[in-house]
Amino acid sequence: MKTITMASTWCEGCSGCHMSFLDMDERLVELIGKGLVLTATPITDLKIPPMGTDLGIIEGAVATDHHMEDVKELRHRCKMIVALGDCAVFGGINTMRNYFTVDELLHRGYVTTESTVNGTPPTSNELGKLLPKVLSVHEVVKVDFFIPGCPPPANVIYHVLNELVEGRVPRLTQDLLYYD
Amino acid sequence: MSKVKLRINGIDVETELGKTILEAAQGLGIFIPTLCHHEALIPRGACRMCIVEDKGRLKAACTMPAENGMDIITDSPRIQHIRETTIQMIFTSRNHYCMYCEVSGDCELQDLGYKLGMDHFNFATYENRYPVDTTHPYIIFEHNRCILCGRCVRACTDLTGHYVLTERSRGVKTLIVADIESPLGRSSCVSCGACVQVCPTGALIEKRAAYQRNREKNEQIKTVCDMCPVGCGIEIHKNPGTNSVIKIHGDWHAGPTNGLLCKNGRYLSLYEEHQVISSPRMRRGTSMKEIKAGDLEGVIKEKINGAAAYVDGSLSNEELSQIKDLFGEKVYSLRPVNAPIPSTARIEDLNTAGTIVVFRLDLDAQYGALGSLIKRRVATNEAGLILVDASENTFSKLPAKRLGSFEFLADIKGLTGTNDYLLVYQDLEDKERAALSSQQGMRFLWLPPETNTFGLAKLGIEHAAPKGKALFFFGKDIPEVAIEDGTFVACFSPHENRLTRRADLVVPIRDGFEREGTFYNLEGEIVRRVPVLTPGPDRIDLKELLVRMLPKG
Repeated sequence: MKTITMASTWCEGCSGCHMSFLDMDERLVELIGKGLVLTATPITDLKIPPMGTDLGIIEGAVATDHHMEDVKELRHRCKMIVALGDCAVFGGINTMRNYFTVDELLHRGYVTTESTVNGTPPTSNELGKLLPKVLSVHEVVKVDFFIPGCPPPANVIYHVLNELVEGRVPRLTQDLLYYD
Repeated sequence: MSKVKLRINGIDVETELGKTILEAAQGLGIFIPTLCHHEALIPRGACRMCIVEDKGRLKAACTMPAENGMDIITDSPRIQHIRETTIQMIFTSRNHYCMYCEVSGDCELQDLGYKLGMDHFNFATYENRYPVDTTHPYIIFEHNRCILCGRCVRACTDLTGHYVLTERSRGVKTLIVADIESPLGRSSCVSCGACVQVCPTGALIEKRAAYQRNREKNEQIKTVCDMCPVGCGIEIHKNPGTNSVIKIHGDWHAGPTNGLLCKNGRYLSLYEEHQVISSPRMRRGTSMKEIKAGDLEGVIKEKINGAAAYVDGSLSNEELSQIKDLFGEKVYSLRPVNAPIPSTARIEDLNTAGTIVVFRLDLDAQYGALGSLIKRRVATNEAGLILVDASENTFSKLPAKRLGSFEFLADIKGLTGTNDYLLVYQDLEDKERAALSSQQGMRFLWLPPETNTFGLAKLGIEHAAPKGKALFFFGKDIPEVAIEDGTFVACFSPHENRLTRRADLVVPIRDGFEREGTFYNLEGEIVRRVPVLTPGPDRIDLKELLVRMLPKG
């Protein structure tokens, strides 16, 4: 049987798209039966997929240098990149912060919040550095397929994966397109 | 009418001269996507979604009149590419993220994105920040969601004649503004709400309706507005799961005003807040005691002998005639019911009259939809306007002749022409009535004070001041009345009012959204109101109660 290997990651997102992915329920088992192989995903808890993975699915927008690295790494290791959900496709709700500078943002979040006393923005090197603007994934790397939706319903994700494992090119027609 | 012959997608078609390519194509059932176009508005060609090819030349179908010999292609890879690029530019020019937009699921921009299969943006996303105007009591203007289609501006000018909204600046800096940069809430806006109804995106939204949308679309109930005797056609939007009205829209296809509404009909009927009467109650000694709905009949029967009924114009014809059956001749109106001069014109005549005379009325406040019919013609000099004894109001900024009543009567004395003037009025002084009714060249349109004033008059219910040992009041708007001590007073009303505190018997009846019935509009035609909401358990159906009270057989 021909298999399709798949990796997924999430950047600046809420994990809702991965929840939607899991919402496929028994259809996920069906897809695995048809030859879908999960490599590094939040579900399998492996961090880095093997070189030459067929499919890299990205949830969330690119908001920090860590996300930037992650996305580029996945692009490097995968043959095809899918942007999953509004944040990955359009930048999503995170782009609300594009109205402000990073300094304004951190000041508001860590200093002037009504519930904060003597707060300072975190400075640990472990943390990703915010980019000046939130970007959608295709502004950073080439994206081969887009699945918008907040989150995209499970049947849309199923449709795309099923088309791929059955060797067809997926197409999102009107009833499978969602922006909300 | 002369015809033009053209070809659309290879089909030969004949259409009337002056029709647009879009109209010709729609006649053939050919779909052309549109966004700034709206059936009730003058086409503008702002968004370029409806672009079509005529022998290789691109034309906007919504504004281009059909011409002889045109060979139109409505869809091709080139057109598709243009439309896809255009929709992307519209989506990325401001904040058009559907996920946190109020109108998601009911948005024309979103629908078009789906139709054209747009699955990502090719352009950088929005960065410019535009204001959000929340100063208006009913409307939020979220400029970040605006696509500058100009529908609201056209609705505010050509359609309703208010001339409040306009555009300022150019290019990406263009902003829709009220009164040249005044916050909407402090502008000359009369809150007719037409701009909100035509807005294709979430730029203009109603505060009260916000986030009550249903993904499966709201239930829409067509009926007539019962706020005044004009009886505009309305669509009441209701979320199927809830027992509340979300918003009211004008019905573009229903007379007499074809979708125009006013603040009263669109907003006040929803915003009106009254204290609900929780259950029927009756005076026992010095205090009020709740009584069961089932006991009501007996209590009323005890008091009804020799009692008189006083009704207002909010009651339906059915309720009124039952009250008449029960009280015989002793049914009176709380307000005057007869026209000083009966109408000789219809509402549609406002669309053709040469000069319109408004007699001491603030039309935008009382009969806004009629005000719009007049304002839009006066603003474009199609009709003259004379304001008689006018107070300062929203009509003041129109190019009008302002006269005192005396001057006006002197002015028209020599008039001999036919139907030069159309008079709009409510009350007239005796002197005015005498002078006007014998005057030539006049048509009259009387605006009754209450919704069903006409019905009261038709049933022969006359105006009289309350008098008697037992008084029964029916209606929602009961004026200040003098009542002698020792009189038994019963009040049947949808909510607490100034009389319910004095009354000995208070009965909650159903309100406008909860009952069915007919009334006469100001043209003397019967219009029907349908129930939209399920009434609470203690709300008495007046018709049912009255039927039970009537002698059998």
